[in-house]
Amino acid sequence: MSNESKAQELISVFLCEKDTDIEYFLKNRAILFEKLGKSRTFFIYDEDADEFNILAYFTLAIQVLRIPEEMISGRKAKFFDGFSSKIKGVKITEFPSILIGQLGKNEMYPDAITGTEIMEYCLAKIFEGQLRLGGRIIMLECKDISYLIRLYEQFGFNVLEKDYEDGELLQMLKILEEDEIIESKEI
Amino acid sequence: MCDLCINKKCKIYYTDKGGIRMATSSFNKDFTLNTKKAVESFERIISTPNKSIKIDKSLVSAEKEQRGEQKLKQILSR
Repeated sequence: MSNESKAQELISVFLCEKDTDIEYFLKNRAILFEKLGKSRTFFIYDEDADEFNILAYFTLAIQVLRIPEEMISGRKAKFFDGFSSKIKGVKITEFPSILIGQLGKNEMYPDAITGTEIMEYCLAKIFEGQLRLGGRIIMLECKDISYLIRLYEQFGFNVLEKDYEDGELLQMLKILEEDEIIESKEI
Repeated sequence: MCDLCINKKCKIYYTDKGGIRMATSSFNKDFTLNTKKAVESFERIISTPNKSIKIDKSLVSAEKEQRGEQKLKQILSR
């Protein structure tokens, strides 16, 4: 059996009936997206168990937040960019972001990990990447469910206010603060 | 956009098994703030970021990740 088939077997025991998209992505897209470099999927597992039990997973990717040129003034472009309003005379309208594309718990082990713990692992991983590559906007989409929104708000995310269509996922954004961007170490 | 999508504007995709599922859309989505309301909201979020629970960055140390990889390799080699 190839490693990919074995990996597929490992993830086949992931169950998430609350949100079938989370389960579908892991089983049908995660490996493909990994190969394409579109995203990176991380498993959280129980170190003490004999088996490699996936308790939860999250998937990260690079995204771009865009604002049409006519909707953004030079002053705002500079404010959003944090440094400049233009690059080579062209107004900045695109802002690189880190996307939490998927984040879910394995319902096979419902009490093994909390949503808060998954978010802590996820953000720790993002900070690791941010330390090397930069970036200050993190975004995610979530269902309009109050406990989910509260969970993400605890980690500094805000719902982007706009006119959502019925059933549309809410967009939430987090802007990294200085103490999250710069790691202070005593040398 | 997912290759299974039957309509670029729809939010439900049909699987090859005939069931329906939600979109795995965030990865291929166009995140454009194309209304004044959305741009103003973005400005407010940047101006007044929410405080966050402090994150323990050592949760994902290189050593922990290596242990995980080793365990995974052992299981895959069985």
